[in-house]
Amino acid sequence: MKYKVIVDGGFTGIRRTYEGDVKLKGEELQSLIAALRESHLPTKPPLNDGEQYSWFLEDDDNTIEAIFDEQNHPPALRKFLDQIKADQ
Amino acid sequence: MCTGKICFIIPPHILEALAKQGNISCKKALNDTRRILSKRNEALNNLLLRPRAEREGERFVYDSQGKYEQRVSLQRTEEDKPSGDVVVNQAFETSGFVRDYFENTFGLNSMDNMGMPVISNVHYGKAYNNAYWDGDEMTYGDGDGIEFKNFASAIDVVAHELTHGVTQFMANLEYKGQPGALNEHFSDVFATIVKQKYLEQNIAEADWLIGDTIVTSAFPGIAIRSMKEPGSANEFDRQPAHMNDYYSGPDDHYGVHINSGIPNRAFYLCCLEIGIEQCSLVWYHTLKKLWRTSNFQDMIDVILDVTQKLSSEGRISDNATEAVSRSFNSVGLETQLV
Repeated sequence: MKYKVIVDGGFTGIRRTYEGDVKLKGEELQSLIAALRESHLPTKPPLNDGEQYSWFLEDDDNTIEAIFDEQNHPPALRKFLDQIKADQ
Repeated sequence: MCTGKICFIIPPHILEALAKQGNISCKKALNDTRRILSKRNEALNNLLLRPRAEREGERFVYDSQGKYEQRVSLQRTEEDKPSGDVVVNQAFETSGFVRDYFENTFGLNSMDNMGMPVISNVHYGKAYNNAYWDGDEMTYGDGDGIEFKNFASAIDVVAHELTHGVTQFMANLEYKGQPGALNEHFSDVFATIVKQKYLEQNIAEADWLIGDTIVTSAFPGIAIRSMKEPGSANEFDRQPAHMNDYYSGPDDHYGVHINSGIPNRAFYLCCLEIGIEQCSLVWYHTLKKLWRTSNFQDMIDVILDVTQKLSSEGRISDNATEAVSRSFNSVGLETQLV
């Protein structure tokens, strides 16, 4: 599965892009997809200096895109992003 | 061992196990521990629940312990001695310095002028390269240790975040587009002023940089932003210094950290003309008069009114209005003096 995450805003205002390929097991993939669907839930107003996270996941069947502000960023996506950063 | 708000030499689960086996001294120790914890919690709750008029912006520093959560473990209050954690102490000292600046300079009793607690969270998240204000409190990451380090240690970062609190209770500028850029601008203005006070610098000695102490030598730049030369602080710095280069795209909540470079440069130029003390007075009273959707033109209208009034009262120099006007004209924001 291909992924792309753009982290924008924050105190630094520096835009960062993380992209690559990752193999996920069924449960992990379902957890990520469920988290990405949370972007359809009502959101809180943006935090001062909070970051913004734009997510793109793509596999053979479909593409999912979602954008989250700092306070709405689901824990499953935070964990995945931390793993991506640690692997780089 | 520490759990939440209290530390134990013998972990409580061992005390409990021994007490269940009939150990009298362990039962007593367990009871004492609970009594102390209960007393401490009661004291803290009383402090937070005191009537607003009695509050004086007491500081509370929490350790997020690497989680993406706030108020995980209380580490220091006004009553406590310095912590063993240097970052906790830095957040405590710097937030106190900023709070005291606003109180001593403008008579402001904490951010809401009603003595609201000054709450900081440190060690937030994993390698988190950010700091933010969430409406109630400040939160700081440790940085990744590669390009960024310890956001809570930097006086300008802390002043920037705390000023977001001041702005919230004055103009409450919405966080997008030009109102958002003004919100960021005021945070950078008071970050710069407080930094110069903290370092006991004058405007000629100052570097006019924001975030220069949170970047490492591996970071491709010298700071996060420059008030003097917006766009020059690092290789990612997209701040314009003039309206000709105004950013109108959707990134960064329509450029809140980008277009703030324009009024930032005007502030720097104005400080060169009338000095940072007069500018701080002008900008503070302007912030008090702005509103949620104020744009750059609204700010110019208000700042000229404020400057004329302060000047007529003899609180700033006679040439201040012309100096403010020239500064904004220099960055492409036209002013009309009445």
